[in-house]
Amino acid sequence: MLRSEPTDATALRPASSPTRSPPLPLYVAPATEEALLSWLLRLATRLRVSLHTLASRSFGIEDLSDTQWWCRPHRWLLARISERTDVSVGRLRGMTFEGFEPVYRDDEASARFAGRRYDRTAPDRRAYRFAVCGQCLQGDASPYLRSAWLIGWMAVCPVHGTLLIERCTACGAGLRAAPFATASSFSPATCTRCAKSVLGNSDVVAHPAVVHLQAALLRGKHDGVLELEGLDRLTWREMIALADVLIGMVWTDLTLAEQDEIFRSYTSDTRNQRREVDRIYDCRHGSLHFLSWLTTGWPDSPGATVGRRMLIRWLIADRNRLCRHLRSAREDPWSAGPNNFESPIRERLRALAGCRLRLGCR
Amino acid sequence: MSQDYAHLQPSVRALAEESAEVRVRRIRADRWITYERADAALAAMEDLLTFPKRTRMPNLLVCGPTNNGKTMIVERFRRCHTPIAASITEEGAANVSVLKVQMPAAPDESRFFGAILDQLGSPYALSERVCRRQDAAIQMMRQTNLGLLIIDDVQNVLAGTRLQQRRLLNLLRWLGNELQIPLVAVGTAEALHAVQSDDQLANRFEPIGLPPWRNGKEYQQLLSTLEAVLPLRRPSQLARPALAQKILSAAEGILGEVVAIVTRAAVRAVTTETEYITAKLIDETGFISPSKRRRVAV
Repeated sequence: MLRSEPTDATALRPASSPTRSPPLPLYVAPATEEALLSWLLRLATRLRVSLHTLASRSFGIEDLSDTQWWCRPHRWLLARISERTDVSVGRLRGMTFEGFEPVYRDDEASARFAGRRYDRTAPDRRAYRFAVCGQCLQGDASPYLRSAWLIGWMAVCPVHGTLLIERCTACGAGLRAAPFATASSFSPATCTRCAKSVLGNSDVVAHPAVVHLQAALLRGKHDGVLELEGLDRLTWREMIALADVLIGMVWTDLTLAEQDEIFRSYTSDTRNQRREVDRIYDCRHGSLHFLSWLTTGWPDSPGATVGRRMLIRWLIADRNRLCRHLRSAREDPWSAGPNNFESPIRERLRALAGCRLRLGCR
Repeated sequence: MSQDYAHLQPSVRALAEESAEVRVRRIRADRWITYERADAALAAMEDLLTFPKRTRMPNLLVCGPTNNGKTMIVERFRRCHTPIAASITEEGAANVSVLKVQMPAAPDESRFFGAILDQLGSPYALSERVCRRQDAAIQMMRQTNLGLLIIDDVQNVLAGTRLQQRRLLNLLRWLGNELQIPLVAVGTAEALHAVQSDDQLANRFEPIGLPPWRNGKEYQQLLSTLEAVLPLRRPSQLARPALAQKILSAAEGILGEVVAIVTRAAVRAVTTETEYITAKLIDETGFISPSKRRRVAV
């Protein structure tokens, strides 16, 4: 008799499914606290393909119009990525935003509380922006993005207490990943516009009020509730709604003269330079500082007095444009539409304003 | 076990007690049976794999009639050299000592390199240019430390225009020189003619023939082994001269057809509860020999 494979029982098993794809031929180990996006971009760089190609051809993601799929991928998708990359599902899940509260009012968008968010309509497409800690990146063998940095309002490195870098110091361009459809090399420490290092100014210490507020916000994003001095306990949704009303009213409802008066009060109270106002408009740290000024010591501090005034103004206004930043340009800017605040949240904001009157819905 | 099933290999005996459905599924599963010519081909490929890198690497051309076990041999060789996953190597790159690709049915360089990248598991954009895909494939083969490339169905190059044929044959030569790895081309007699049409390729590829089987000791051993791995409850004695010759004639000497005849008869033996293969049972399967299939009237 001839030697035959059936003497080994495994040979009697049917051939393995031809549809199962082999693992990727190259491996990139996820780094500590690395975001899934960052790791995928590094993997795509090593494979010399675009993120879109990696996502569609290796993980079977057909709808690439959702550029944020990596924030909270479905468990079948994590299983598929795990199968192709040999990284466990648990490890992959830890790199996503699964542990955070779900997105509410686009709260994870870049520079979420900056003024420019409120006086523009939401763009249909936007290159993905991020901020980095220069000191963290300098210590990386292969620079990567930490998950926390990708939450759009994070302004301070939780490790070093320094400002996250949002713009290239050489050319002023916002830090962003190259378009996901292009097969370019991912390097978060290099400006995609001028190709220079972005790691200058990496040791600017953050303002304690911003550090305090950011820590509270991070707790809220993680646990669903947070506490701020004078505001007591707020759910995450209430906090975002409050921030939207306070900052949004300043940027969308006031006249220039009224804005100027508030900014004068802000700069004199915080002993800030006048140029800090520009930072409220387009910088994560500046906007968090302004939000901190509006909420700290609620309702009697100078900033909180302004904040409360904004809240009351919103409550009694017939219309406002607070939801404009959540919608496309084609929709009516004066109508809240589907992005209007839910009744319980409106009631909570009304309570914070100290209004006992029943006011109409906005 | 109610019987000892001495006619079966020990690992198969327990299966003989299984239900008809389970046994039919087992009978139809792929299996590997070693025979002399397959061993020679495997040994030749093993020899190539250990060949040191040099300017002009030796190559093999495994050729024979269709369905005569060529693909099973190279698949067997590939399975014996499973890649080492990228996640456990120091460089973070898989170690793929043997890669098997199929020459695309519509052969061109882009599809050929796409097939290589597919087999390596490497993603690529469908819209990218040939030179970029070629570069990606070559880089990936280098990074994965590829030791031997098997190209199945090489005769598919003949499906292209003369220019495409020439370009793909040149590509095979170039690939061996560029990567300094041995190539194993697998195909029918047409593949042999295609390779021999290029003097330089003909020099580089040493042919290994897998001709049709003849009735003899090796063939009878093959049938005995095949019988021993099919979970039928009674012995069929397939190697008996009359039955062996009947099977060989119907199969026209083609290994895949021999296995198909025996498998179909074995399935029928289970479903009819005959439990062994007879000449009558083979007739009842309605097997049509390969040459008759080509002449079938519709």
